Amino acid sequence: MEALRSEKLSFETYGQMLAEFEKRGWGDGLPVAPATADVVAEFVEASGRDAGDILGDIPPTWGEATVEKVAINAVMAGCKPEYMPVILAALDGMLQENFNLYGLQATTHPASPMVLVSGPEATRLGLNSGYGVFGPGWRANATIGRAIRLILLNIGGAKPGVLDRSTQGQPAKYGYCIAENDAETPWETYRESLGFKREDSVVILTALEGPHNINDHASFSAVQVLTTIAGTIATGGNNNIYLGGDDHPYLFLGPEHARQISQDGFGRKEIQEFLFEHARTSKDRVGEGQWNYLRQRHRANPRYHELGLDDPDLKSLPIVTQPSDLSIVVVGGVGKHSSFAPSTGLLSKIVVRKLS
Amino acid sequence: MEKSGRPGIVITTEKFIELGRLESRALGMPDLHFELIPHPLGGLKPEVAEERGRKVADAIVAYLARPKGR
Repeated sequence: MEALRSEKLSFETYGQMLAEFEKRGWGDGLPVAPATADVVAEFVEASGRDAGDILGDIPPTWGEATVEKVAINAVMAGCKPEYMPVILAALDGMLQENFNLYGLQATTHPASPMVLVSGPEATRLGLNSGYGVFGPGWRANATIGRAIRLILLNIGGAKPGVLDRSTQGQPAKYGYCIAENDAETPWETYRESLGFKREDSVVILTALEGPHNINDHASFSAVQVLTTIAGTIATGGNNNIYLGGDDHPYLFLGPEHARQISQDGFGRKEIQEFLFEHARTSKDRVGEGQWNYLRQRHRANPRYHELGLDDPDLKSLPIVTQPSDLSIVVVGGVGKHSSFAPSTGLLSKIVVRKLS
Repeated sequence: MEKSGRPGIVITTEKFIELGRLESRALGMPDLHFELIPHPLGGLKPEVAEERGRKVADAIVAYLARPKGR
């Protein structure tokens, strides 16, 4: 096996190591696991690749991401070696041009890469897709998400307030890794809707805000639930309405909402069409300057005239350019809650990587 | 442009100069020229934004028209 090349540092105590890391500005602020050479070597081996293999340069400082550097960050994040293929696939996805990692790393918007693992591999790795899917308690979700952030910080140099210019940031910048809940999806899975087979495992990368809850315990039908969802997601300050672009915000349907909606004959396409029609930001919900700006941005919609967006008396704007721009995934456990996460608008596109 | 030998100028608000300078160095253009305008740019009336642009216009022309080697 190829030897490791990274600089080695020695410390007498764990506390001294943490103090040195803090002094050097490394990490996410939480204590890290020591990346000793033997453990890093184990992670490199689990990746099935050589330590020196280069995945690419990570903006904004364009640090070179080798398998070894990725492994070091994965160890520090608390990962298991078997998570390495997911982390490498996620990083490869983020380095694709249309993901626009530079823009994402430096923007004032709070978006963070969300790693969505879909398929049998998610179950094998112990990724949570049920109760508390966005929250704590599962090592795979917590540490894969954290490894991605450590890579962006330590190799990419996206230090908040210096090169990462996010005005407020968001909690999901610590880690944002979930799995699709196949068992509770009443339609074809999300990966199948993207053209993959059910037996495939894929890693989907998208840049999202944190999820905002949608509570509806009282509706009796698909139309009623979807009306509540439409009213919740059509906000005036999200980047999708702001930039009018064609990247994908995410509707995370809780299993009970998904079942209720599907029982009335709604599939993904029908949900997307309903929400395109009804999830509209009203003129009276935003300031005058913002409204005028939004109208200008939406001129770029290829269906500007067809959708009647050129009407001078227009009272509302759709939150996405076309119905299919709204992504729908089923995640979570029991309860009548769903959530919505806006994306970056024009800034970054979805990227999918198949796991071998 | 800068890398092809044509002088490039970045107009940015003062709050983003640190990002700009670090980025220009990281991309191999340590001498890239910056012109600063006051922050913020968002939320300004068009005439105010235009005025800010005008204030650096002369500096941009002077930079582009400067004698060689300066």
